[in-house]
Amino acid sequence: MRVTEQMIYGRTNASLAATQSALQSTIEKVSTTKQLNRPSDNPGDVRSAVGLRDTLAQLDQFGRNIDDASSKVSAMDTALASAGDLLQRANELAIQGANGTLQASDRQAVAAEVSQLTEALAQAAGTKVGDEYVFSGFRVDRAPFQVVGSGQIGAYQGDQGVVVARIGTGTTMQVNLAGDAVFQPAIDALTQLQADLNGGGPVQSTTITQIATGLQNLLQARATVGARTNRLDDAKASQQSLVTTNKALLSQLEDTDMPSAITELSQRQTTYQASLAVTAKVMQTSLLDYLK
Amino acid sequence: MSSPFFGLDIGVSALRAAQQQLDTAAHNVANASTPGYSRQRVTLVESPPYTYPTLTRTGLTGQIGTGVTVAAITRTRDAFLDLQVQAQAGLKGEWDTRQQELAKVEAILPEPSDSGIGNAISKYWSAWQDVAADPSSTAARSALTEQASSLAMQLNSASNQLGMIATGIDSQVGQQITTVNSLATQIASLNLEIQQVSVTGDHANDLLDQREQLLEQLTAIVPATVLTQTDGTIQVLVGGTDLVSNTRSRQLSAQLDSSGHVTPVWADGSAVAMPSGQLKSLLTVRDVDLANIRSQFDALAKGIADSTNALHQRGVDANGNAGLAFFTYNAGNVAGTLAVNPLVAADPSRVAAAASANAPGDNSVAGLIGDLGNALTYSAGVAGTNLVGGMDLTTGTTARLMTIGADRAVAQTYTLSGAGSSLTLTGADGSHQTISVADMAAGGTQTLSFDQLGIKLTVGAGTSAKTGADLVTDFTAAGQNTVVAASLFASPQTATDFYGGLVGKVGTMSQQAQEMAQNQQLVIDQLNTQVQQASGVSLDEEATDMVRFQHAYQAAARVITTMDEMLNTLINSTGLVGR
Repeated sequence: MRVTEQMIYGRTNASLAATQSALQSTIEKVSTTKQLNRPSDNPGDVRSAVGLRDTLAQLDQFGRNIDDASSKVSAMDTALASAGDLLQRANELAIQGANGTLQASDRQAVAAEVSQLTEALAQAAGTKVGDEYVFSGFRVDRAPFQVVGSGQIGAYQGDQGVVVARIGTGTTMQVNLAGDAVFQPAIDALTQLQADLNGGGPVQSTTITQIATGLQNLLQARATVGARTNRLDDAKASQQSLVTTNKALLSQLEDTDMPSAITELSQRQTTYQASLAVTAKVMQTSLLDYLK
Repeated sequence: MSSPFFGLDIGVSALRAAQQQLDTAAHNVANASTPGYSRQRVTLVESPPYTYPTLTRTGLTGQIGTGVTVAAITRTRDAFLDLQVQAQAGLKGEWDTRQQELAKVEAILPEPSDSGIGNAISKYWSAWQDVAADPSSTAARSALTEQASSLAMQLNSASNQLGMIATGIDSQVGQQITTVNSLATQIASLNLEIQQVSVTGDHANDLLDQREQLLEQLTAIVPATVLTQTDGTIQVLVGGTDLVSNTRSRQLSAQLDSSGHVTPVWADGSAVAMPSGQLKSLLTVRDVDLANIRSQFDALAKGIADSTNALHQRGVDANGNAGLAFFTYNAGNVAGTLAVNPLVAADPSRVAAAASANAPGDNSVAGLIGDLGNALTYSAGVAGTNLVGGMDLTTGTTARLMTIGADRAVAQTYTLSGAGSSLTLTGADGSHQTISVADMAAGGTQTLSFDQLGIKLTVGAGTSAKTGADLVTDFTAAGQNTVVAASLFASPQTATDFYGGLVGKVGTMSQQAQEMAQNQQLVIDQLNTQVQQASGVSLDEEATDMVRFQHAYQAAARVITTMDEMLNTLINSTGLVGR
């Protein structure tokens, strides 16, 4: 075969360019730590990565939704616990007031304490998370119950709105409880208790039953809230494990396999250096060097 | 017997031949790296012999050699390889250009990344969920409008950048038209020079090299058929039309097409047919690929905007007013003009997160819009029910119709009327849509676009469509005019899937162009090697030749010296007897 200088230069340039571009792509993989740097690097994988990144963003959002719901549910639990304590105390006072031997002045003192308990109950129902009342349905801007006079509680100010949290793909959970269903029986019982005590007579047995029903109602609500806490904990655990799995999948798609990339890098560097060395040798000699 | 001076003439012819060979070697060395140069060779022939007429005498030869003549200087060129180079140059030009332009498109879609449009879409839906988690918070509402604006701006910017790539291609097309015209003129003038040399029987080596070089440049831009004529000129046909014929050339001109893009045409306005080449590649990328990608961006923006708007307009804002359109856009250029409704952007309390008035904790609509991130379809109502107030199908005097309340994007009442084989939906402002009865088979569905609300009306199963009037009866009958879900995109997929598909498509096109450009480079390299093998100058070869010709020259000079000495002896030393 006839070989001319132009052929040698042309081929050398082409092969140096090819070696250099291969080296460059490996350097990019190592320095960015990503094997997907643009859609054409692997269109199928890039497409999957775009989907996985969206999945992770959604999971992240579900995590925040769960945390937000948890803080609301836990505030509700605290409120219901203290409301239960208030009713327990009211029950003790009612049993005390049912005793016919009680002096009128003592009865007044008990009535005063019950009045305090009633107002405290309205306050417990008015628990807020951030700026929002949790027992007012959609009327988060208004306390569910307002104290309208000493020991006197106004009508329920909220509505029956159901606040729903999205805690997983297609999974929703009711967060709030309407305050009237939860607190109204207890408030009514305490109002009746105050009336009995202020009326001068002994506390009627129906009032005691009413208090027991109110307490039962609060306990039931607390059980519901407890179940929600468990559900949120489960959702959080599953969300976290999904985040881990999806991050691993994304890393498999996007991240450079460092050991093999670095091995490839040193191989390509060696190839490049060898090409340079050979080029330098070949280009030095010509017949003219030997013709004297 | 020949003249004693005859040998001197032979020597001179040898000197001249060696001189010419050395000159040609010098020309070869000088042009060793000139692109398109073919090495030249001196063809020597023996001079016509001198026939001595007296053959009857012994001791004398009949034919006497008279030395050497330079017959021609020719170039070494393989015409078949030239044809192949011309054919492959067009393909290489095509794929190189395509690769360069698609790389620019890829830069608009820097995925996977934390800052691309994909990320903005995810964050946008997330922002709605944040509003749902805390609907009374102004901070969450402001964050939502910011995030939505950021998504809109990214889509605007992508659409504008696509437009800029198209504008860049326009100017390249203009430049290439100028280049083709200049090449055509140069080839035509070379044709003239070659013709003048050829008629004298000479070889126009260097001019031919130049012409082939120009042809290679031309065929990279537009594929051309080249026909060589007997007078040495070439005819160059582009798409069957003469670009160069004999010593004349024709010009292409740039014309604006209906969409304002630069397009090459012949002087008479007819289109230039091009199966390959850089020019064709530029036109394909601009008119097919970019247009397609732009329409995909438009579909993406429209899917997100329409679905959000449909649900948002069902909602109620923090002031108790019905929801506005959340996004606004210009229907002709959706991605380029998408923006958050300025009224909402200026006042976050107008984000309609709730389904009912006076319910600051109501997050139903914000939640539903947040769910769109995972949704294939959306609906402005549910199966004919009055889901969250506002928009519903109510019974009017003429038909059961959709009424849209005050303060909505479209504040009007629609009426249905049927006549002949068509059904017409007329708005209070006189705008109307007509559906052919043929489109409405029994149990079929038909989209009636209420501005951007994406609602379908269905004819109940088992109802046979006969005339437009029958359809009115069907629609107005209770339970028939149900609202059904509309798809976000033509094929059911989420916004992220749609965007991922777009990214994958651009990636695949760009990857294919890169691979093809690489393959084509290999083919061209291989052909160039073959051309060089046949036509290239080898310096080693020339050096050997120079030594050879130098020796020939020296020997010829020696012949003359010898003759000179012989004559000297004859003239100066002969006939001295008796002096």
